[in-house]
Formats: sequence, structure tokens, C-alpha cells
Amino acid sequence: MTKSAIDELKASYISREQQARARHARGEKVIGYFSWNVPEELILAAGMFPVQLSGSPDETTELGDQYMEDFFDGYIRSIFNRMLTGHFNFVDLIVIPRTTESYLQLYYFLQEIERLKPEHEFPELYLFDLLQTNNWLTGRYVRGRMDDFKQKLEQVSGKLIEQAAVTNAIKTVNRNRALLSQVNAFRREIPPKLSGSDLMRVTGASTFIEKSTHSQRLENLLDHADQLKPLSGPRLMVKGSPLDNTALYELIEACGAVIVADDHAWSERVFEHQVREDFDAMEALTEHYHLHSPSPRQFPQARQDEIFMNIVEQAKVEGVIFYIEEYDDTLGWDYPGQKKMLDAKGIPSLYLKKQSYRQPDEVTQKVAVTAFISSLKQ
Amino acid sequence: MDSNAKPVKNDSKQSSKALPPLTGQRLAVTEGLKKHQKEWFLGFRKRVLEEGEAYVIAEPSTPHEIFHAMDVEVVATPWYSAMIAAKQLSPYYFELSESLGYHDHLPRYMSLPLMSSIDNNPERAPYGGLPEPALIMDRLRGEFPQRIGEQWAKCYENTRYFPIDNPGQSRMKPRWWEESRYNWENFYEPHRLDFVVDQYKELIREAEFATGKVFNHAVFVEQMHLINQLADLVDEAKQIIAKARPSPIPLTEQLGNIMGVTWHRGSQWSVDHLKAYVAEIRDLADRGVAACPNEKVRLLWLNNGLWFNTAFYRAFEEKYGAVFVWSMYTNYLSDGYFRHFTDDPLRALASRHITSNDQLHLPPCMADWIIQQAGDFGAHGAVMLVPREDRMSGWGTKLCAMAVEAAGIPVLQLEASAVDARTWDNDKMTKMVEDFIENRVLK
Repeated sequence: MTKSAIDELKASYISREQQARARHARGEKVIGYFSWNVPEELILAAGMFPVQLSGSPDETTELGDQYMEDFFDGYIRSIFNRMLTGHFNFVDLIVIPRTTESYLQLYYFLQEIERLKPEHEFPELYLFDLLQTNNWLTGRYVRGRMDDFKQKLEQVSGKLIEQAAVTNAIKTVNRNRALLSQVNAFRREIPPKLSGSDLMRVTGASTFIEKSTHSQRLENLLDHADQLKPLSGPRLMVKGSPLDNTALYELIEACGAVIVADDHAWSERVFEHQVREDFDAMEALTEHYHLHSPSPRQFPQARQDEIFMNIVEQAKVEGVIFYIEEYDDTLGWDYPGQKKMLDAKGIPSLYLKKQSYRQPDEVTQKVAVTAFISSLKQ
Repeated sequence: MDSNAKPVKNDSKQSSKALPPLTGQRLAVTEGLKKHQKEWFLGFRKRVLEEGEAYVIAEPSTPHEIFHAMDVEVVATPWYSAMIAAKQLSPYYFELSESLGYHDHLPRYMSLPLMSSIDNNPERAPYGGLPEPALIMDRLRGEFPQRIGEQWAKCYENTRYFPIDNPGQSRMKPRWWEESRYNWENFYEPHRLDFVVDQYKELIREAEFATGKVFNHAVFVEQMHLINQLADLVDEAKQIIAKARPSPIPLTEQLGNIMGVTWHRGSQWSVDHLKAYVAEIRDLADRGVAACPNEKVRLLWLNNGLWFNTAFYRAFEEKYGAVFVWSMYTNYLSDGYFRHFTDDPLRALASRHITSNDQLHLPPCMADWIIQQAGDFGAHGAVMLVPREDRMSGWGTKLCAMAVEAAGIPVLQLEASAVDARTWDNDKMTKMVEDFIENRVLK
């Protein structure tokens, strides 16, 4: 039974857009979005189907390459290429959050393509201008953007979003986050009973299929947890650039380690915080996405470093692998300080920098990871 | 494009026309600028180091005007970065950066001054290094500025980091350089302006606490009017240079004078200096004085400047008569700064800085403006710097080049850093520009 629940979730992770495409084919409204910084609660409250969109490292990007510099983040180039090829044309609106400069640039690039190359057709775009400096004033700005997003969704759906619907949607997504936290606890056990690769698939699937179905499958998994087998190997954490696929995790775990914790755009950080249910729903969503939705714009860095080190400690991490994408201009500023913090705790780390999204050098990765794991075992 | 804009081949009779060269290759006003900058820095050090006055380090697209209205000195990060590069110190600081564990794809332009502060060696740093500022002020475009700013503030004991958050524009619209002068309220979107004005009010309060000085509203209003005067003067200078054949002054002279004024915008000195600048170039143009008497080809320099090698701008004059006549720095002070206002100067200020980098670097804004400038200056081609590590300056260059080419202006893209001299291969770059002139511009 447990295996079946995990297998179903894995299948949903792999066939990411299947449900959304089927809904679109049935005439339902589908809202696509990028990253975990878009309030899917509002999309659910509007009675539409939310689906997280992503790139794919398995696809070439010839069309995108004509217009976009090669020093863009790999996942953004892939998304851009998919936009131009009409891959996402099954959605009614695409929401792009302003939680990385790359996403904002993607938004402007697509506007320019609309102007210069109108032959490339893609869905209507909406910029969700989420800012995250940690002060009251920014929070008020975010509230304004949250209201604007709600209005946009009302316009697309043709229906007003009721307060009760938002409250219910918050409960639905919170329940899902809580269940994901419970499943993540299997990674924390000694020995761990769930691999990092599986947790990533289980987590990702929550944004590809209907939320209540996903939650039911998580409950099913929890009900049959006794069937999970203990895993052996050094307990590692992966931190760094966004990983929208499991290739690196699979490589690391095939080398004999278990990823028991992570901190990146598709990691356990996405379900660590619940939206408050005890006050006004729109204010609660504002507070959550402004202050607690993980992104590289979260500020100040000391708070983010504290969260990172808390995870290291709580998960009893034995080593950290920093994964930094090829043209990173941001996380490399954090690395020296974070390495120092780990050194002070006697926790070894491996720095995989300048990593290609589409064509990672798996041989070199494997050599480095194997050597790192061996050093931990000694 | 200007129908008279055809490049002149080497065998043209026009090349034999005798024109007086610019004597000494430097304007009289440039000497005045150098003297002013030296005096300013001496005064700055006296006020800050000897008398203990507070000063501020600020990113370029932040409201320096607020501090000018408080009589608080401001050091602009790109100015200091350019100083480091010009003194050939960038290799040392970049090697320091890498030895500290920062990987070598990280942004170059804005991190050099941070490295000079980490190094903390007054003997090495330009002008003896930057003393402890009261505030480091930034505008958050990408995700790295907040990291540089926080780490930089930690180099000092009592420095506060003040980031101004940067709301995204919902829609990039055409012809910003026209719309922004009078229609800025609608053009830059009221909800964004509301937020930025509120942040500026917080900044003023914070700055008053940090510096012990009070924001003088009357001085601020006066400075805003003076900046509008500056914008008109820069436009006047642009019209003279754009229409003159040949160009009376080289790009290097334009850059020095306009950027020097940009960092001291709003002062009476800045207006007086630009009046003298306009008068001098008008006189030169009237007398037919030429930066390059052999001028045959007019080029635009697109994107960031090449601060460690400004001689490169003039390297093609003798062989091809190819003269760089424009870069984004030469008239952004006119097109990007002018703001008509009546009752809310702080809101006008917010509209000036809210999208300034985007206008210079994002495809729709950047390309349209460049095409307009190419027409105004009768340019035959454009050389575009593409800095890979400073991605926010590099992004969009491909789409921009495509749009400029589609407007009939050949573009050469040179991948290089604006400040990292280690990565510059002068022979290779020279050859690329020569090939471009021969095969794309003169053909």
C-alpha cells in the first residue's frame, strides 16, 4: 500500500502537466505559475486549477537561444524556450512572480517577444510583484499586489472570490503543507526511511495534481509508514540553486548517501510555514508570502543563514553539498560565510559550482560526490 | 536613420578637407572638472576624516538628491568602481575576492568597492580608500545587491545598510524618454510611485538619525529645478554634437564631463560647469574643430563603459576615421532625469529612479532609445559591450542588438567586463572592431 502511494505520487511528479492538460481539455480554467512564491490559495478560491510550470533539462532550447543570452539561469532558458514553442498554451494565464530578477527579466523578455516576434504565441502573462524586504511598508505593498492578483483571477474566472473560499483554500493548502512536513519527518529519522529523491518527487507533485487528491495520497503514505525501509549512508543536505528535477539527487544517493535535508527553491523550505488561519485571510496570505515564502530575495541574510543552520542541526546532517548553477550571480555571495559556519560546527561541505542545468558533467559530479562521501565515512 | 548618415570610404574627397584638430585632446572645461573633483575629494576627506562628518555610499539609481539636500556627501559606487578600474587595481581586488571563496562568475562592477573595503589598505585603494559611511544605500534589482550591501556594511562598525525595494513595472512602454518628462505619473504606475515615495520618507528619517542633519525641503526643491536645467543643458550639448560633422569632441570628453556632473547633480557648480561645457563645444563646432579631422564613420558605444581602457574608444580614428559619438552615459542625464513637477518633488524624484536601470538595460526601452540616438547622431554602426558576469547589464543585449540591426544599424557585440582588465584581450577586440568596420559598416 505504501509503495503504491509513493508510486502514485512519483507518477504525478513525472507527468507534471497531465492533470492540467486534461482539465483544459474539459474546458476548465487552468492557471499556470512559476516557483512556490505564487499564492495558489487564491487560484483555488477562484475555482480554477493551479499548476506549477517548469523547464526541462532534457529539452534543447534552440528557439530561446536566438533571443536569450546563454548566461541566463538554465531553468529560465528552458521555460523561455517552452513559452516560445507553445508548450504552455494549455493554460489560461501564466503568473510570474518577482521573486528573482531572472523571473522578472523573463517577464520583460516575453513582452518584447510579443512586440518583435508576434508569431510566437503564448498565454496571457501576469506579474505578481512580490517583494520581500522585511518591513511593514513592503508588507502593505504586497497586500496591494495580493488584492490586484485576486482581481485578476476574478477577471479570468468571471466570478467574485468569496472570503469563505479563500479561508477554505488556506485550510486546504495548510493541510497539505502539514502532511508534507510529516512525510519529511521520515527523512529525519535515524536511519532515514525516505530518500531525498522521493521527498522531492512527493513535494513537487503537490503543485501538479489536485490538492485534496495529493493530501489523500500523503495520508495513505503516512498510514502505511511501517512498510518504509530504513536507508543507509551518510546524512547529507543539498543547498543552493533551484533543482526542478531529481537528477542530482539520484546521482548523490546512488553514490551511497541519503539526502535528509535541503534548502533550495524545490526543497523542504516550501512547506515549512503555514498560513495563519486565525485572522483575515488576505492579510494572512500577505504575511505568509511576504515574510515566509522562501526565495533568494528573503532578507536579511542572517535570518536565512540561521534557518539553514537550524535545519543542519535538526536533521543531524553529516555533510552539506552546495550546488551552484553555472551563471549564478547571487548564492556565491553567501557561500564563504555559510562554509565558515559549517566549519565552525565541524560539518564538512562540498562545493559544486558552475553547474550546468541542461548538460551537467555527471562524471565529474560523481567523482566529487563519491570522494566526499568516502571522506565522511572515514 | 539620417539619410546623410552613409559612412565615408577612405578614398572620399571629404577626407582631404583640412579641419583643425582638438588641441591637446582635452576641453578647457575638463581641466576645470578635474580640478573640481580633486577639490571635492580633498574636501570630502577633510569633512569626513578630520571633522567626523557623516557621508553615504550609494548605488547610482538611488536618490542621491536626498543627501545633497541635507548637505551630506555621497560616494557613488560606480564612480569608485571606475576609479579602481582606471588605476588598474581591479586584478588585485578580483584575486582577493576569489581567494576569499567568492566564485569568479559573480558580478564585477558593484563588488570592486566592497573588496577595497574588505582589503582595508589605504595605501593601495584609490584616494586612500573609503572611510566608514553612515549609510550604504542600495536599490534592489537583482538578488545580489542586498548581499553585497549587507557584507559591505559589516566591514565597518556603525554603518547601516538601507535597501530601497524595487517594484516591478507591469508593462514596459515605448518612448520612455519622451513620456517620462511630463507624463511620469501614469507612465511609471501610481501604485509603484506610492510605495517608493513612502520608502524615500523612511530613508529621510533614517538619514536624519544617522547623520544628525535635517532634510531641507527648500534646498531639495531648488536642486530638483537645477537638475531639470542640467537636463536641458545636456540636451543642448547633445544636439550640437549630434548635428556637427565632424564631431567636435571625442566620447571620452563627453563621458568625463557628463558623468562628473551626474554625481554632483543639483549643485550650482554642476549647472555652471555644464553651461561652460555647452559654450565650449558650441564654439568648437562653430569653428569646425574636430576630435578626429579624418572622421568618416560615426559609431555608438552601447551598454557599460570600458572603464579600464577608455583609450579603446579612440583606437579606430587614425586608421578608419571611426569616431565614437555617443554612449548611454552621454545623455541619460537629459533623457532620464528631467521631471516636470509642481507640487510633489519627492514623487518626481521617485519617478526618476524607479526604472532607471531598466531603461538602460532592458530590451524594449534600451533598443528604442538607441535607435532614436542612432538617427539623431547619424551613426553608421554600434559596438555593444556584453558583460557576462554583470548579468543585469548583459541580459537583453541580444534582443536589443536584434532590434537595432532591424532598424538598419549594424551591431558588433564584444563580450567583456567593464571593469575586469584581466579578461580583456586588446588585440583580439581591436581586430573584431576593425573587421566590423571593414565588413559591416563600410560595405
